Amino acid sequence: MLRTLSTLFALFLCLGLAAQTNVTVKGFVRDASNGETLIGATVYLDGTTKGTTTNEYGFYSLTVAPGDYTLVVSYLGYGDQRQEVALYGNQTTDFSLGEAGQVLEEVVITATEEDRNVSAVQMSVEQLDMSTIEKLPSLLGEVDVLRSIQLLPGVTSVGEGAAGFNVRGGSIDQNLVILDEAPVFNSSHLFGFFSVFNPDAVKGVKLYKGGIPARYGGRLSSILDVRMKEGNNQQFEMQGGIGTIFSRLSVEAPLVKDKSSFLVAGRRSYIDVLAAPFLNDNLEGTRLNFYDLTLKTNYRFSDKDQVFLSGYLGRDVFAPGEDAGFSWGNATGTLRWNHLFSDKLFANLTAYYSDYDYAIDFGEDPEEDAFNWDASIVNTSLKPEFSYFISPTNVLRFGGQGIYYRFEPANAVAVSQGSEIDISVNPQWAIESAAFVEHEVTLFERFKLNYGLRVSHFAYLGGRNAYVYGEAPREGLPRPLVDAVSFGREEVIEEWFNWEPRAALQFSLSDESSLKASYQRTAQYIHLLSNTTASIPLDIWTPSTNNIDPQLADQYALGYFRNFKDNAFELSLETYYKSFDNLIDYIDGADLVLNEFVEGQVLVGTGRAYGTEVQFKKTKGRASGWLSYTLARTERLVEGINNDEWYPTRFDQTHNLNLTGFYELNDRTTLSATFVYNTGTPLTLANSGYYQLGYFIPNNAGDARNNFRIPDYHRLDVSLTLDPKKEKADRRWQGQWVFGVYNLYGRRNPFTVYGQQADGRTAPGRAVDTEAVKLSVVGNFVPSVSYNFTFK
Amino acid sequence: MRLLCLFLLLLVCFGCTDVIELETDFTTPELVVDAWLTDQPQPQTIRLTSSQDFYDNSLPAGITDAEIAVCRNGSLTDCYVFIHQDSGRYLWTPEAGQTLGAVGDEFTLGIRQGGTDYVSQTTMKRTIPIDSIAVRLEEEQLGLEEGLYAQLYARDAVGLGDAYLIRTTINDTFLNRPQELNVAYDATFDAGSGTDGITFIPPIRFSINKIDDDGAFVPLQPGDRIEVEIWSLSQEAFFFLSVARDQLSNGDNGIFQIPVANSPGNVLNTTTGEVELGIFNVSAVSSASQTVE
Repeated sequence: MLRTLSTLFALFLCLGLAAQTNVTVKGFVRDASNGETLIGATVYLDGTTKGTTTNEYGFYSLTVAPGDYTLVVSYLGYGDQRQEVALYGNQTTDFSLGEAGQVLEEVVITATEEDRNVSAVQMSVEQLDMSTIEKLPSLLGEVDVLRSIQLLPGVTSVGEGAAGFNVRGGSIDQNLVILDEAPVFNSSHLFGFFSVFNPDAVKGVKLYKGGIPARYGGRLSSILDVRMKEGNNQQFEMQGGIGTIFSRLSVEAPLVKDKSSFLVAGRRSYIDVLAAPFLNDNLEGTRLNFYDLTLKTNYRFSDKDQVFLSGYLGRDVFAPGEDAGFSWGNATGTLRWNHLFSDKLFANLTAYYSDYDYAIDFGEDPEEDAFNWDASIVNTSLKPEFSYFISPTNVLRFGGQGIYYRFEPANAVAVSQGSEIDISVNPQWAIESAAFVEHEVTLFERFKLNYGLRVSHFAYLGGRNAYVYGEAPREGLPRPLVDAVSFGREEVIEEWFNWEPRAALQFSLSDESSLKASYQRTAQYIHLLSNTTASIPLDIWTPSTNNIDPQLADQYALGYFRNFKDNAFELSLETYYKSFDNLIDYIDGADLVLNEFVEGQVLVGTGRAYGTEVQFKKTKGRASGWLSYTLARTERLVEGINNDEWYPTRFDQTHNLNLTGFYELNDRTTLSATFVYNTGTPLTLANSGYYQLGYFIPNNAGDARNNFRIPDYHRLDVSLTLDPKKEKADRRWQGQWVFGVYNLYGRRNPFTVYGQQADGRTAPGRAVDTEAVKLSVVGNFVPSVSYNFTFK
Repeated sequence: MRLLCLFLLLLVCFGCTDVIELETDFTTPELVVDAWLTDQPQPQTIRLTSSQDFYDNSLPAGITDAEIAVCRNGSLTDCYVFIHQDSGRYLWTPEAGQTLGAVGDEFTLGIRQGGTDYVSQTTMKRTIPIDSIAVRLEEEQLGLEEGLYAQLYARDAVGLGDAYLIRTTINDTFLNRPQELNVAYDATFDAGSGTDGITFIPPIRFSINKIDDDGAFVPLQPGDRIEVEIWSLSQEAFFFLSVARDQLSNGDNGIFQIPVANSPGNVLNTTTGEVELGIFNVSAVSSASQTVE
C-alpha cells in the first residue's frame, strides 16, 4: 500500500514539473439569469482536445502553453459561449451562460457536458437535474428527488412507500445521503412516502453507485449528493406551489448583487388543516403534519473567497391527542468556505452539523402515567478538501475529514401510577476520521485514470460500559451478557483502521465510444438497526462496537459506453460484482428498540451482489427519455439463518425495467410517462401452524428465509405539464399546471403477502380461521393536480 | 414497538388488502405439545396434536397413544399421570383440594409416544395479586370511541424477570383474538426495559378490553362481568408467547412488518436432541372479577 502511495506521488511530481512553464486561466461558470453556478459545464480550447469541467462550485482551471486561444464554454440546455483570450500570463475569466431558447431544451436528461457518458472517467454515476425531476410523473403530484432516482438502473426499493432505496444490492443504511455535504439520516416524510428535499431548493442530485472517488466515504454502497441552489443573485424571485399534500413557498434574492444572495424555502403538509373543521371537540388536539424549511446564503468576498451557509430543518408530527405524540426529523447546518490559494489550487473547507432525532410521549402527568422517550444521532464534522489543477489532463485532489458522533438510543422514562422508572439506553460516542488522495490523469491521449486511496479510522469511545457477551445457549437465542467493563471518557474501547483503495479507468475506443472499469473498497462504521420490511423512524443507528465490526465491501465494475448522432443518444452497459463483509442481521424475535443489550441479538454475515445494467437515453429533440434495465441478484449468508445457506435479500429483484419518456406536444405542453416493471421481491411466509392455549401459532417449518416471491410489480404513470403561454413570457407572474395520474391502470401491486387469523372471534373448541392476505400500498389509480408559480 | 401500532394503523388505511389463495410448501406434520398447567385445584389438561398447513382451517388430529406424567421436584414417585380422554386430550383430575404444587416447585414432563421419549422441565414462578379492575368513562380519542372501559391494576413483583400472561373473560367470551394476547414482563411488554416493581403500564392495563374486527376497543355495557386471571410464566414460556404475540398481529404492521419468526418450544426429543413444537409451563394463578355498574 505504501508503495502505491509513493508511486502516486512520484507520478504527480513529474507531471507537476513538466507543467511549470505553462499559464493558467481560471474562473467560475454561472447561469446568467440567476447567478447560480453551473456544475459540470465544459470549458475547452477551440480546435484542441484540451478542456475541463467545472467542479461542484462551478469553478474551472485550465493550464496550457502560452498563446492566443478561443475559449468555448458549453452546458446542455444553454447556448455555447466563445471568448478569445490572449493567454500569456495567469488570468481569471468568468462566464455567464444564457439559456438557449426555451423551446426544446427545457427537457434535458442530464445537465452536463454532452459526451460525458463516453468521455468521463467516472462510471456508475447518475445525475438528474431539477428540470428533469420536475417533469416526471409523481405520486399525488409531489415532485420527489428520491423517487426519481429509483427510475435509474441499479436503484431499487423494497416497495412503494418504503423509506430509503437500495443500490446494487446494498441495504438502505449503506447509502450516504448528503445535503450540501451534511448527512441526512432519515430522508423521508410520512414514514417513507415523500422525500424530505424541497424541490424548489434543490439544484440537482448525483448518485455514485460504484467507482466512488476516494474523496467520498463512510458508506458501503452509494453516495447521493444533493446540492442546494445558492439563491438568485441577480433579482428577487419567488416560487411556490399548491399540491395535494404540500404547499410550498420559496424566496430567493440578491443581498448584494453579484456578491451575495439567499434562498428560503418552506413546505408544509395540510392534511390536518383540511381535516380540522371535521374533527369534533375531543379530537381537536389531533396533530398530523410534516414540514421542512431550507435556508441558504452565500457571500463572495473576492474572486478568491466565497462562503456558503446552508441549513435544513424538517419534522413529522403525529399526535392523536393533547397528551400523546410522536415526532421525528432531521436538522442540518453546513458552512463552506471556497478559497483559491493560486490559479491552480482550489480549496474547500466544510464544517457541518447534522442531527436526527425522534420523540414519543404518552401522558403528561408525572403523578399518574406517562411515557417519554427521545433518541438522537448527532454528528459534527470538519472536512478540508483541495483540488490542484496541474494541467487540463492532470488533477490532484487531497484532503480529510473528521466526524464526531453522539448516539443517544433512548432517553426514556416510564411512569406508572406515579412510580417513575428510567428505562434509558446508555449513549455512545465515536470519532471517525479519514484522509484521502486522488489523482485524475490522462495518459497516452486515450486512457483516463482516476485512482486514489482513502484511509479511514474509527474509534468507539469510552464514557460508558463495554459489554462482553458469551456464546448463545442455543442457536437462535440471544447471547448472554457475561461482563460489563467500564471505560472512562478519555479511553478508546475499540478502534479500527482501513485502507480503501479506489480506481477508475476509461479507455476511448473512439470519439463516440469508450470502455470503463472501476474498483472500490468501502468501509462503513455506523449501522442502522432495523428488521422491519420498511424502515421505521424509530430505527436507531449504532456505531461499530466491541461486538459489532465495521462493514466492508469490494466492488468491481466494467462498462461499455457509446453515444450516437452527435450525442443525441447515449447507451451505457455496466456489469458489477460486489462482496460484503460483516453485515448485520438479527435473531428471530429480536427486540431492537429500548434495549441496552441489543448487541447480544445481532448476527453477522457476508453478502454478494452482482448484476448487469443497461441504459439507453435520448437527450435531444421533442421526444426524449430513457430506458433502463437491470438484471441482478443480491444474497446474504448468515450463520443461524436459512440453515446456514445463501438466501436472497428482502429487496432482491431479478428484473427491473424502467421506461421514462417526455414528449413536447407544443411549446407549452409536455407529456411525460413512466412505466416500471420489476420481479416481485422474496419474503418468508409461515407455511404451517399449531395450537397452543387455543391460539394458532404460525410456524415456518424448515426455517427457509425469503423462499417465496410476491407477484411482479408494474405500473404506468402519466402527467401533463402546462407551462405559461409564450406571449406571456415577460410577465412577472408565471403559472404552471401539472395534471397527473399515478398507477394509471389501477393495478393493486402487492407490497407484501402474509398469513393471518381471519376476522371474527374463534368459538371455544373450534378451528381458527386463517387466510392469506395481499397488501397493496396504492390500491387504485391516483389522480392529482398541482399548480406552481414563479414571481420575479 | 407496539406503542406505534396506533400510528401505523392510521397509515395502513392508505393501502388496501385482498384475501388471496396461497399454497405453502408444508409437507410433514410435527408433534405439538400444548401443556399449560396451573396451580388451581381443577382438572389439568395436556394436548398432544400435530402441526398443520397454515391454511388448513381445521382442528388438528390428536395424538392418542401417548403416556404422559408430570413429576414434582425431581421425585420419581411424586407424579401425576395424565390420562387420555379423546382426540389427543390428556387429563389429570385432582382430588378435593389437591393441586400440582406451589410456587418454586420444579416440574418434569415426560411423554412416551411411538417409542420416543420427550422431556421438559419448568419451575412454577410467582404471580401477583390483582389490586383492582377499575371501570372508567373514557373520552373519545383517535382510535377510541367514548364509553366505559376497564383497566387492570396490579403491581409487578420486585425483582427482575417476572413474566405474566393476563387472561380475560367478559361475560362468557374469553378474549382470544390475536390482538388480545396480553403478556407482560416486569410490567411492560418486553424483557430488557429495566422496569421493575411498578404497576402494569397503561397499554397492558387497558388490554383487558374486548377488541372488534377493526382492532378497536369495544366499550363495556352496564351489567357486563369481567374476570381476569394473571398466570405466571417461565422465561421460556414468556419468550414463546412474546414472539407469538408479535407474529399473530404482524399483519397489522402493514409495510412495517417484522420478519416471520418461530416461537421456540421447550420440549426435548431425547432421541434426536431436537426441540419439539410447544411449551410446558406451570403457572401460579391469581384472579379477580368485576361487574360494570
